[in-house]
Amino acid sequence: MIKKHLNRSRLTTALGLMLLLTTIEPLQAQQRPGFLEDDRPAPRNEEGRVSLGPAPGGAGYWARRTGNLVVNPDSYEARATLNSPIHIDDVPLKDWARTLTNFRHDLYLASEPYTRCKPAGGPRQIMSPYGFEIVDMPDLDRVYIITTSNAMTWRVIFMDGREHPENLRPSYFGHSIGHWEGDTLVVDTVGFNEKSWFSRDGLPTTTALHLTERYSRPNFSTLIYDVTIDDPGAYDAPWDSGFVLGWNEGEELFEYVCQENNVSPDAMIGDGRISSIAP
Amino acid sequence: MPRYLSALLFLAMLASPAIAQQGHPLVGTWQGYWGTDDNNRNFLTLILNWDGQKLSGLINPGPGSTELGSMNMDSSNWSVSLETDLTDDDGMQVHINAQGKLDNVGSMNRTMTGTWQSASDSGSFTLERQGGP
Repeated sequence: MIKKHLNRSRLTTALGLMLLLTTIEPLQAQQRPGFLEDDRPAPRNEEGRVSLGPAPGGAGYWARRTGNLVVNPDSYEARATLNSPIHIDDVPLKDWARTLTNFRHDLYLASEPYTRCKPAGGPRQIMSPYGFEIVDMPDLDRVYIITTSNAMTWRVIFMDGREHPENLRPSYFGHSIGHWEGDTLVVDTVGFNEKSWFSRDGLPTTTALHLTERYSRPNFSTLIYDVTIDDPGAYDAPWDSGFVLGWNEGEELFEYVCQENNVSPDAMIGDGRISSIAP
Repeated sequence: MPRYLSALLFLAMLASPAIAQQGHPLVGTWQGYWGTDDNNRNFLTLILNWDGQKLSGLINPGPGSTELGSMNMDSSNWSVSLETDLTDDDGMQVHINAQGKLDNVGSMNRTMTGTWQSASDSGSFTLERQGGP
C-alpha cells in the first residue's frame, strides 16, 4: 500500500517536472521585450520542422521590434537601447574599442558604413529597417537571409555539414555554416572583414570576429535572435546579446536601392556640423 | 632578408586584406613622409596589424623592408608611440623613437603626425591611412 502510494507520488513529481520543463522556454521568450502575443504556433514544413518563413500560401517578413545589442546611456539614441539585454559597461570591450565606440556616438554614428550603402553581416543585417526573409532551401542544404534595405543584400548559410575553409578571404558577411538544434537554427560565422559595423551600437570588431547566432520562433509572430560575440581583437571575452523581431504578416519585401537619393550621411550629422568630418 | 623573399612578402601583403577600416584604428596601410625638415623628406609605407594584444607591422614592404620594432596606442587621447629602425632614402639606417597623435579617427583616411628622435637627429613625420570607403 505504502509502496503504491510512493510510486504514485514519484509519478506525480515526474509529471510535474516534465510540465515545468516544457513551459520554461516559452515563459523566457515571453519575457523578452518586443515579444508578440500570438496563440498561433510557428508554421512547420513537411518534415515537421519549424519554418522561419511564411506559412504555406502566406507572405510576410521579419522586422525588428528591438534592435540594439547593448544599453548605452551615452548613445545619441539612448532611449532606443533601453530594451537591450546587456549594459555596455558589462561588455568586455578593450580600452581602444570602448573609446572608439564613444567616439562614434559623439559623432551621432555619422561614419557608419551601412548608411553609405556598404553591407553588414551578423546582427546589423537583420536589425536593418524594412525587414528581411529567412529562406530555407533544404533541397540545396542552404538557408538564405534576404534583406530589403541597404544594398538589397543576401547572405547564404551552408547547411550541408561543411567546415569553414582554411584560407578564408574576409568578407562583409563572413562564411556561415548552420545546423538545426530542434527548432532553433544555429549559425556559426567567421571570416568577417573590417569594412562594416556589425551592429547599430557602433561597437568595433576585427577580422577575429566569430559569431554564433540562434534563431528561434516561439510563436507565429515572434522571432528570437540570440548571438554570442567572440572577438579577441576587440573584446576581452565572449559575450551574449540578442533582440526580438516581429512578423509583418501579408507583407512582401520590396525593391530598395540604397545608393539612390541617399542623404543619410548628411542627415545623420545631427547638430548641423559639416559632413566633411566623416568620410 | 633575401630580395625574392621580400618581394614575395610584399606580394602577400597586397593579396591579403590589409584595407582594414572599421576595426582597430591603426590597422591598415599608412603612407607619408619622415625627415629632419621640409627639404629632407623620406617616403614611408607602414603596414600595421593587430592580433588582439600587440601591434606589429612592416616598414617599406619590398626589397629593404624592415619589421616594425614596437608600437603602442593610448586610446584615451589617441596618442601613439613607436620605436623602430628606419632606412632613409640614402640607405642609412636610423634607430628612432617617435611620438604622435591620430587625427580624424572617424575617417577612412585618418592621419598620424608627430615627431621622432634618433641619437643624432630629430624631425617630424606625417602619415595618412590608405584605402577608400
